[in-house]
Amino acid sequence: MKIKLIKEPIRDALGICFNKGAYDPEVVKQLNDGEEVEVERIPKKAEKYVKEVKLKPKKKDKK
Amino acid sequence: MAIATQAFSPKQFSFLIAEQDDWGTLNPNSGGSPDNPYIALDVDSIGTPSLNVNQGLEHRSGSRVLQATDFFQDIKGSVKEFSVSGTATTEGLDLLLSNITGSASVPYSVASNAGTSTLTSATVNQTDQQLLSVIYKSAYGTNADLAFKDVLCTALSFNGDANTEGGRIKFSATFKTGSLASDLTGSTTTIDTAITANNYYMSNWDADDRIIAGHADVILSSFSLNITNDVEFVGLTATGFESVTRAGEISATAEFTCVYDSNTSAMFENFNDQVTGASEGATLMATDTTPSNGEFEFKFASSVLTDVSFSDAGLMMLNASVKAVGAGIGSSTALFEVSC
Repeated sequence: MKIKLIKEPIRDALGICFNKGAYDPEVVKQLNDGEEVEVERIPKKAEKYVKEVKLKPKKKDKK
Repeated sequence: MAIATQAFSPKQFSFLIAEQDDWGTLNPNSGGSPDNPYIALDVDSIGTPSLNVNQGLEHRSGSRVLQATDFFQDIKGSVKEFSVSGTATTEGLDLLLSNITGSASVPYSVASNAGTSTLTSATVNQTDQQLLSVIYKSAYGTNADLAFKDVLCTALSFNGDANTEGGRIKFSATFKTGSLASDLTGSTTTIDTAITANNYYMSNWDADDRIIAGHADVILSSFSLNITNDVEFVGLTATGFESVTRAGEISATAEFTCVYDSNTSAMFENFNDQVTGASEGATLMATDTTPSNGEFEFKFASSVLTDVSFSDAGLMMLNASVKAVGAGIGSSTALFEVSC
């Protein structure tokens, strides 16, 4: 899923982990820079910081 | 011969440690070469070294009593252990943390891809505090110090309690050596670095830098930090075990008692919902985000919750336990960092 920051930046010191494995500071940096980032999950404690980016459905072509 | 005219207080004894350069050679007394200082640890009590001699006390065939000739004793194949606890002060902690982590500078850390470390008679001129000499300095000044060489710190714990000594940080350490005791009637060892008042306090940590597995701003009542890096002894020579290797799991765990509040109430859910293969968050106790020289601070960049439970007190409290997890077998990212 793709996520983006809602408002306040995520503190690096929290070590919030959006993917399997250990903490990846690059993911948090990208989010704090305003980028949309592809991740595996949103941990419960991160729900106040980020939200999932929903893909807009494509409009049907008029015949 | 007459009875002795002087007895001693247990508090008159000291526990000293020093960096040891060469395998098999006790760090010399002050003024020797190399002149690594003997540092006095601020211990609560001197304790007793466990010599762990191998004894055979079974009476042999042909007799119903243990004859003197039946008695067996060996000291070459024994691992001597020493445990002390006391108040954490800078000079001793630097040496202990450096020894158990194998890192020479602050913050003391172990990498996720840490390998083994073997010390043998080929270990000479080591300068990274890999070997220690330990002295039980006797109050009786003449030929009574207990001296041990080729010593390694295998477990180190820290703890603090807001209700005890104002949160002053205490320590416990366990040491092992597989070499013969250097001298159990050693001449008087000079204390080169006396106990100082360089104490550390958990009250120095900032609220937003008190983080338990990603839960920040915890209000702490007490904590403990436990580091283990055990050793294996193999081979035997006339001077004891031939080789010692740090080969077991290097681990860092911590336990906390904190206030149950809006910052910590989610711990139960987060403990329950942890995902296999993923860190739950960082654990940090510090004055800022980075453990640095001169302050007692520690950080697990990645950690998992291993227990969460209520703790009844005047307030509802939480006990939370965490364990540091690595960033991958090929990663040099620190498993844990500790500074002092």
